[in-house]
Amino acid sequence: MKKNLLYVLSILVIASVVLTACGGAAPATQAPATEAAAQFTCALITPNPLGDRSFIDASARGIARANEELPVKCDIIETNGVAEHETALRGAIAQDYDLILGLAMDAEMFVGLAEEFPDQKFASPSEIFLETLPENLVAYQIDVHESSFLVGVIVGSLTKTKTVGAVVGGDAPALNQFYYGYKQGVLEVCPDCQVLVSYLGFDFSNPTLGLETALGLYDQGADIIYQVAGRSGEGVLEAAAQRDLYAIGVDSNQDDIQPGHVIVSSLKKVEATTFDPIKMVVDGAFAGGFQRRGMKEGFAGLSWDEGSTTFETQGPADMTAKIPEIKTLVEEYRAKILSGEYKVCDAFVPETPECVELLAK
Amino acid sequence: MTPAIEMKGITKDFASTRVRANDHVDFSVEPGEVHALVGENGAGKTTLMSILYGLIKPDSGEIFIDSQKIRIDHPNDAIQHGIGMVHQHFKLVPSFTVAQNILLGMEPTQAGLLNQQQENELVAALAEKYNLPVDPTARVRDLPVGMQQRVEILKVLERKAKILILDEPTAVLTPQEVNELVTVIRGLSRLGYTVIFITHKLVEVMSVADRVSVMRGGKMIGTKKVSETSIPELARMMVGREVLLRVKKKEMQRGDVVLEARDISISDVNGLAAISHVSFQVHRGEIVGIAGVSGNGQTELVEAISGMNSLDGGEILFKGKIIDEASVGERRDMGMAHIPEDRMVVGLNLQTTLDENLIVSRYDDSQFSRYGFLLMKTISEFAEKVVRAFSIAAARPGEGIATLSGGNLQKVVVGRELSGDPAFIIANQPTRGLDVGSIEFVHKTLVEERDKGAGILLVSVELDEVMALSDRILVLYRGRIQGELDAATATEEEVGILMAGGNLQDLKYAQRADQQELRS
Amino acid sequence: MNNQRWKKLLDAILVPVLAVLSGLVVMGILILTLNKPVLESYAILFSNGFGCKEYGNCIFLTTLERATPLILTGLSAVVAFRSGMFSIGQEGQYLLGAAAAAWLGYAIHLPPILHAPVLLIAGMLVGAAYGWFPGVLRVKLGVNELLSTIMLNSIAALIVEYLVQFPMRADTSAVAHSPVIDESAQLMSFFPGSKWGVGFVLAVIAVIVVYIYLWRTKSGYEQRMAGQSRRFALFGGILSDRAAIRAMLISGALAGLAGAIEVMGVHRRIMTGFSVGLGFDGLTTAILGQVHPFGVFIVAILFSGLKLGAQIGLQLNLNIPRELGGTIIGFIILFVAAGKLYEENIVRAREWATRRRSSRLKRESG
Repeated sequence: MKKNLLYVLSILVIASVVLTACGGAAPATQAPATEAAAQFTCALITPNPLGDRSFIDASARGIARANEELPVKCDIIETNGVAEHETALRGAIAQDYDLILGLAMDAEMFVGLAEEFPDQKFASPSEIFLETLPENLVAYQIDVHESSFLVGVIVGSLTKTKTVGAVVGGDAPALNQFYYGYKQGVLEVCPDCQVLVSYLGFDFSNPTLGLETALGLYDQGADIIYQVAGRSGEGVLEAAAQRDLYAIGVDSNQDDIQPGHVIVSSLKKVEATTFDPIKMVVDGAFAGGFQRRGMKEGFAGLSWDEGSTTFETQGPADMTAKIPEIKTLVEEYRAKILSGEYKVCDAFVPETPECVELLAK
Repeated sequence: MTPAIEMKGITKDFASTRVRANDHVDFSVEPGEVHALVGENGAGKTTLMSILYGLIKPDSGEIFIDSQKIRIDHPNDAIQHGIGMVHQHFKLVPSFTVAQNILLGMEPTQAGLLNQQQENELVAALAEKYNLPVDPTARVRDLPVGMQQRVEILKVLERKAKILILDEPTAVLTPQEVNELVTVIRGLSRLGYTVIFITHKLVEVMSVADRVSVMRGGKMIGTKKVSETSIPELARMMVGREVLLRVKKKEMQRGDVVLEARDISISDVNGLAAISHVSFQVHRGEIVGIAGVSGNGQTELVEAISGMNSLDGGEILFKGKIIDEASVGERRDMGMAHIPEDRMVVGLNLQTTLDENLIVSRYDDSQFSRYGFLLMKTISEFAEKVVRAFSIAAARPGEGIATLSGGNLQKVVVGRELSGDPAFIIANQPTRGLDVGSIEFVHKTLVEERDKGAGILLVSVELDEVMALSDRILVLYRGRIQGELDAATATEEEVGILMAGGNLQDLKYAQRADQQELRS
Repeated sequence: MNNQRWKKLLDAILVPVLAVLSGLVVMGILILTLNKPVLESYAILFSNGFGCKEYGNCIFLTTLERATPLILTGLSAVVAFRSGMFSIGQEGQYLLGAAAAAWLGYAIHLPPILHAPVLLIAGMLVGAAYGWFPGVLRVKLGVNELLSTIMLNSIAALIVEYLVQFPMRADTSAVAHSPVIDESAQLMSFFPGSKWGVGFVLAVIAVIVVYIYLWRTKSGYEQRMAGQSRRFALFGGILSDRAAIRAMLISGALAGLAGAIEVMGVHRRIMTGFSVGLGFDGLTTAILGQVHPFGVFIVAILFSGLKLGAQIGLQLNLNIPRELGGTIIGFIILFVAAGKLYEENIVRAREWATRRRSSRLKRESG
């Protein structure tokens, strides 16, 4: 009896090990492009295996682009969870890479390593919330409030029920930056519109939760929902298709996930924040510290900017008819924002007048 | 006459145990005879028969059937040569009917379909032919053990076996079923079948066999005609020395009551009454035997007294105190010892060492542990002492016991239970499955304890054992005490009647009737 | 007999060695299909799991550090299994122990001599309480501990996730984490640049203590007997239920300690995704380590070394994807678990050899 149970347990254990090992989905995109010409080397440490269909994959695309366009040879080191992060970083340090990129690493640990190895260049393509950074570490933050504002303009122009929604991963400035900008955009073009919001309690990996939350918002009369919730957000897109209503994608171009139901995607280009520090090193212009990038630098934007026409070709005729007109409107606002004429609320500085005004609504 | 089977120079080594199980064994069986193969556990008789049946390959040696040299590499070869084997542990499908079991793999079919009706008729005819009545439609799991054995025998006969090997067929049977089996074997022999009968019970050999071969330590010691030998001679051949088959007992020195059961009732695992309203006493210095066919409440009675199970009603007094609420450990601390019927699962933990087996009832003693720590040195010395005192061959302190023979395992149990000078001992089937030498040892030890002043409750389904050891006999029948007899004057017939649920008045009445018949 | 014992020891070593070798052969084949250098990959597997190249970046120290929670969760499983409780609740106990230590690490402020011990004890107490619960469910209500511990693992994961996301959340970073614990609560590491330190020493002590507990104390004896044969324990007068609950308490405490040490010695805080099946890895360790404390110790170090070498070392040096590294480990574990296969073949080979020898002797003498 005891023996048998032990055997069953061992088999379970083995099966789980093998399955988790194989379940990592997409193989690493390690194109050794221009090996002969490579002068600089770099390595990207991912916080989890590739295949998240979100920022990890986006960052990997940045590496692929660097390998193609720059005279570098960059590797991707996948880890599985926090326990391996430091080990992988140290392993990479021992390999003498010119630049080591750590995606979503523990801030204190990453900074500590940078201080321990002052001659090694580090970069974080994702934001680090600390007061100061050592000189050999550069950390990027992408501001998404402006691009989200443009999304709000589109949504506010297209809604028929005058009620729209947002499914947000959690109530934190980094996520509210999407939401506040979006809300401001909606109200800008449709002052009597109502913007509903649901926070998911920082559960970014639960599509079912996203689906059910979105269905709830649709039931309250919303006809377009902006999802800012990682994998959970895929459930929002699914809900849009189920109800034959509409949603907005986030982070990368999600227009094709539910064609005809995803109007546009708000891009947060981690591939760019991955590519950018590599280019800095290649150009000999590496500098530590915080780097904020946004719509202006092209790090945030809309899928339409990159020529996505999925909704235009597959959406319902009454909505697609309005699109050329909306595009003009979007470009007007974009110009105003970039010129500084129009200010969008940034959730990181909620004390600015535009935020105070918005939050009062 | 050419022998039906002749095995010459069979040798088999088991590398894993480094034991020569068969050492140049010669063995021959005449056609139509009942040939008993006897020997102590581990003498090599089962190995020899497994070689004959193709279950084990010999290292060397030859096998002849009707003077033809043959090869048997697999049981299929054996079956083809007309050899069938009934194993000690039956290989039947419990949820199938008798007919389905007997015809398993050779069912009559019509257009590929089974015909239940035809199967049942076939088996009924078979049963009649060999005078082995069974109900073809009964499910095997509902049958008593004796009946299941009959199904096994029919299964072998249906496969056209002319030579039947029965591996310890009586080990699992009640006395009545043994008698029936003896009749069946004699019947088969009359029909011209050859029967090889493996056993270590010499009484059975004398009652059923024509000839007997004795093995010891992997060697063939000799073959005798049953009519020209005796139990003591066979026992000597088996053990290699003189054996006391019936222990000598001194006059009983009866002391105070040590254990008393007052109107106790116990239910079995299914909640059915197993023991109802039973009362008895056991005195110091006496052996009280509980006779009865297995399954009449013995297990439940023993578990309740030892504390492994609770009472439904009544009370048990040990040394004058009511112990109904006392745990097993508390009863053991008070001086109760228990030799359980199942030494493999209950009495011993085969997964651990000799030492740890020996202290299970007393690890709490200040002798063996202090401040929560076990005193390894004392324990190992104690193990050494027990091994010596009870001459447990092959057992070593600090080593496992899983490879010990049944007799040695029982010595470990007995050694542990008796080394604490108990006031009262429950001995449940203390010699089950043991060979002659070990039985002698256990019997002698129990009688010694009695003479030292312990009260002993001996539970056994072996009538001989109860008769030989007890000072007083209680017969258990369907959870009640059917009768009490003084062992000195009781006859096997009397005990047998009570075991079957009759009473002594009937016996006297019948005897009187016999006498009257004689007179008239 | 002495000879016999040597043979036993030889078998005990031969089986895992053969198993690991078979795993390496499969690894070679897999790596060949990727067109990568096979021999070099072996070298990297070992140097990146067990090697020590330079000061401040000694991989073997990392292996020992990574082995620390594995040793403790492995021991936790050993204690539970040895009482006959098939508890796989290490994951949940580990998480809650970690959460308790992380919370007390920043919420209270004590002098160093007190702070760290308080956290360790808190982790153990919380783990023990979380182990006690399925034990009582089993003993009093007959609830299968395998199922209850699986459920309790999920519950603990959700509780800790909630704690990290809300009450204990330090800042607004996308990956939620608690504040860094006080310096006074952190466990010292022996070398700068490695987290290998006091935690590992505690794990080694735990190995010895568990060994002594199981084989040298009355309580350990009781729980082992109850675990191996409940009928035997009942017959001998051992209170199996009490022994089982005690085992679950100890098992939980060990897993909780693992969590506390991981917080205090490595991450210094708790965050989303704190445990990536570490409790489950401990289970693997216990089974492969023959459910013995010393076995657990060795297997935990081998296991974490192989993990580092195969999943990170091969990636870093040869761009062999992590999935393949995981597959290789899976195969090695599979072969170790299938050790019986080797045992039987060793016996068969030995029998064949003896027979050959004896027949040759016969031929020579005859």
